[in-house]
Amino acid sequence: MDIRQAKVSDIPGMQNANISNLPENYALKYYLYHALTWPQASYVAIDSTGTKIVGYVLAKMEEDPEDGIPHGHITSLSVMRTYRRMGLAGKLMQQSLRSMAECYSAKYVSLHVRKSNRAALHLYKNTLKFDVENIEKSYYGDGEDAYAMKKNLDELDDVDAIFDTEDPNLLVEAVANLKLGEISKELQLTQENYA
Amino acid sequence: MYRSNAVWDAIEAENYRLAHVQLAKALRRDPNDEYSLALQAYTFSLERKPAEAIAHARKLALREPTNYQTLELLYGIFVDIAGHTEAGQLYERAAKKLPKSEPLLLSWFWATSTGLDIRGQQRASMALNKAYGSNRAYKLRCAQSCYLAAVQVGATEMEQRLFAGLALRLLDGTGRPQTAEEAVLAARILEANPDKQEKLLEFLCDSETENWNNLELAVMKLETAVKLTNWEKVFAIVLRTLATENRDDYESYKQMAHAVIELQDQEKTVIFTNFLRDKSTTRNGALAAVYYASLLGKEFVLPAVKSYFRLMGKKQCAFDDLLPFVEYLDPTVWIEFCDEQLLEFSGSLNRASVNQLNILVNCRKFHYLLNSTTDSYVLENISLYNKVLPLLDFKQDTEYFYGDDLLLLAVQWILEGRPVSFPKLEIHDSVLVAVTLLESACSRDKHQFYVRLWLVRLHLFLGNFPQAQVHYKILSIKNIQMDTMFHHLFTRNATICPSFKAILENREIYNMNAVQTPQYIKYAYEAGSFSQIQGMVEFANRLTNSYGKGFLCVEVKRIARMTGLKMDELAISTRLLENSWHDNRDDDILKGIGSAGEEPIETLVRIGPKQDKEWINVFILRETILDLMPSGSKELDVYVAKLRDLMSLETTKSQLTKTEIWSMDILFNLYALIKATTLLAALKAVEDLKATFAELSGELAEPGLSNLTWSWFHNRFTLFETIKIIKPILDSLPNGKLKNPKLTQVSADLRRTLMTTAEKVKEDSRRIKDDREKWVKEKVRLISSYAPVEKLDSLINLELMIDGIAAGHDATISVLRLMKL
Repeated sequence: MDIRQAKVSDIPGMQNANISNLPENYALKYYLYHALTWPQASYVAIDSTGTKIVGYVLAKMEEDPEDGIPHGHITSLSVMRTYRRMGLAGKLMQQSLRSMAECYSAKYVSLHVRKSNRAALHLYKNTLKFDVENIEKSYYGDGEDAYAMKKNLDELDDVDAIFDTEDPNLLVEAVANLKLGEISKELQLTQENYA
Repeated sequence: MYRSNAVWDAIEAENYRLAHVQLAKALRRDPNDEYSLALQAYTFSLERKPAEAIAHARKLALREPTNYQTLELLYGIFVDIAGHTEAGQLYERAAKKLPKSEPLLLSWFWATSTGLDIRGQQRASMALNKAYGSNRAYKLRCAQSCYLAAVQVGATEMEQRLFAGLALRLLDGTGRPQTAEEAVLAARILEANPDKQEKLLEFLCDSETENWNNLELAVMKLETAVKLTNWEKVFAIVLRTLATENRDDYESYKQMAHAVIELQDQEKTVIFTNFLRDKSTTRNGALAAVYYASLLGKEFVLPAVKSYFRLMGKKQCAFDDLLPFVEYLDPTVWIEFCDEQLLEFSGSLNRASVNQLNILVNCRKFHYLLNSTTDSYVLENISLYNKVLPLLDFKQDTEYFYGDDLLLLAVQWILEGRPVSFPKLEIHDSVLVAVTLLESACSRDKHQFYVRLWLVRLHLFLGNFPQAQVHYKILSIKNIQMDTMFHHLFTRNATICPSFKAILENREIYNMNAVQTPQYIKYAYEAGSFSQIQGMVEFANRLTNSYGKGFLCVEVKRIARMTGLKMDELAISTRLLENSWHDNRDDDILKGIGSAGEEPIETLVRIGPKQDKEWINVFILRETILDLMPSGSKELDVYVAKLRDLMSLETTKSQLTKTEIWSMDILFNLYALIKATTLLAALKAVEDLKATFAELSGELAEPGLSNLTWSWFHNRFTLFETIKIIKPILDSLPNGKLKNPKLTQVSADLRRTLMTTAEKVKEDSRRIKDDREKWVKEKVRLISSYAPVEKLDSLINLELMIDGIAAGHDATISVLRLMKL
């Protein structure tokens, strides 16, 4: 399994990594906008044959940071179901975080995760050392609350797939669910720029 | 120049009549207003009047307009109707007149780059660079454009050398890269110049380049060193990646293995093997050990594979990871090892953990692969599946239940006709058994995508499009998957269950691509995202020229014909015949688990011969010929000749069903009839048509079959479609100088034969509908007592399920019976 920079030609593979009835199929221009604006922020994981995409992370730099500090945002993180629980999500995240810090001078990275998504919470909090900043009430379209999480990028720890420390009962799945409203906001920005 | 918001308002409101009125006013005021003339041609193109549009456009082009806004309108028209070459000439002529007009040159560049005209783009960028050589951004775009011209599919060796060299010279004029993206561009241009590989490696190893921290450059560095077989360098690079940077990169491990073997350096070998030992608890490290062992020799592989399996056997990926190394293993020894892994928990599978389940399924996959003669496999798998069901209670919605693969393997085994301990069934009933097993899996786990995709295929095989569609919808196929997965449901849709609205939804991705991708190509240049441009262009090409798009054009038109919808706006551009079609279909997803055979398992339940570009072109030609037949124009002769040529190829015929080939023969008979100028010729043509029709119609009109599959529907819908095509032509006869009682008589006879045949088919369809209850009872009796189904701990109501299949047949039969002929 290897991590590679995400390319436009990876989009079909990235969408196939999401084949299910979960809301993970984003609009085409969403993928394109990320890949073209921040080409070094997004990555794919490929299997040992080097041909199949088994996971990806889509990330960006916040375009108009409210606090004036350059920072990144994890838009979407997904690993194919048959390739989960092997630390792939962690590796994708580490690569993306490293790039955002080194290539785009991001000082910190933020993301939102559903309160009910225990697996993702475990990944971000315990493995990747994100802090919970606050709880945003009814953040998602269906009314669920979200943890707003943040990680300073001063120190980046390496994450290897170390199996003896893995809790076999805990499903380490990392799917950052975005509310559809948030997706619409991104698309609106794109539309405004390119009407 | 006249500018009219009123005209654009009318165009946007699709009120083209008003737009023409406004334009006529404008041209009365200024008959030489080129922009209005261009807008006129553009309006015709929007109205789908290509002949008028191109005629107006060509007339205007003769004036050699130079205004870039006029050219932008004309360019689009030419690209759509006449092709890139004629389109590009517009700008070239204008640029000769105004070689320093920046808006003109930029317009040329954007038109060609977003229009995927690589050669045109290269010429435009050269003109821009020539006029504004000091502009670094233009120089970079020129370098990128020349690079694209060098690497594009179909570039000759001379073109590759020429454009790659040109790109390099241009790049040298931009100084050192100022961004990581420029560094990637520089590296790719060096790579495209075969004599610059050492220079490329030097560039990639340079500290300035490495400071960009760009993963793509890092990957390229290793690849280049490998290509140059500079194993010392390879070793140094991967050592840094794995040790210093502590990146767990499988490709690096693999190349380190190659390097130590090539270098035969004791010290380096020790470093590598120590590494493997230290990293033996990581997936990449453990798999790298297996890979290294495979390079050393067959005898080394088994211990490495065993170590890997002991570590990773509890992960779902273990089987796929080890599949490439199975050829090195003694099947008996390996199967024995797999069975040993199960000893610890095989007695208490109902309390197995997820890890144990994964080990179990991985082992069963190896059994499938290496032990194909045992006749107990299917029932064993079903028994194991029943035992691990309790794990479903703890499964999160988003998790994948690996236990379902036990059923998928059992289904594959049955479909492949491997040995079983119970009587084998003919294919239709085997598929019914497969559907039963998999529907049971789905009923317990809604998110089971592989199973659902198989069910889409199996239901479609049984001619049950409605139920196939239900599963397909649950998969929520959207966006780019509409192109790559389209064929799983919509193969031969026009003749299996014509579904106009459903199939039309797939148009969305092509419309999106047509609008959004050009925008983003432009954006990529403006943002300086050079590493993504080649991929963008390739992506845009793949979608623009996709098989899926070709199938869609053809199927939509045929469905419209069959269901009596308006076909005016569905004309297929014959320019598509010049397409280099791209096959984006994802069939890997159904290639079968545990399968190492030459033919993928999905071929056993394929919906007819696999369609390729020849199938698309045959049907585009057919539709074009049918459109031209009423006029009997000279163009018709050209297209019929093209179709004959295409149909003479074995590659073409191998993609068509027997019925599809028959329908082409009918078309040729109709052509002969249209072209007949004498009574004798006309009579012969009608007789030939009658004979060809009888070749298949008799067989199809005979009642009998009850076990319906896709081919039952395909044959009958094709028959009805053919009747719908023949009738209007017969109805128009005899005319003119061919008015003759004998011709009238034989035409009327043939018409009667057509309608009688249709009635017989409808009657037989009604029989099937009436026999539905009897068929369901018979199948329930057969399937419920069939060993695998009996053994399965199933929640589904078998009678309801089988009746659902019959209901699906009924729904499609209704469409068939209600077809107005």
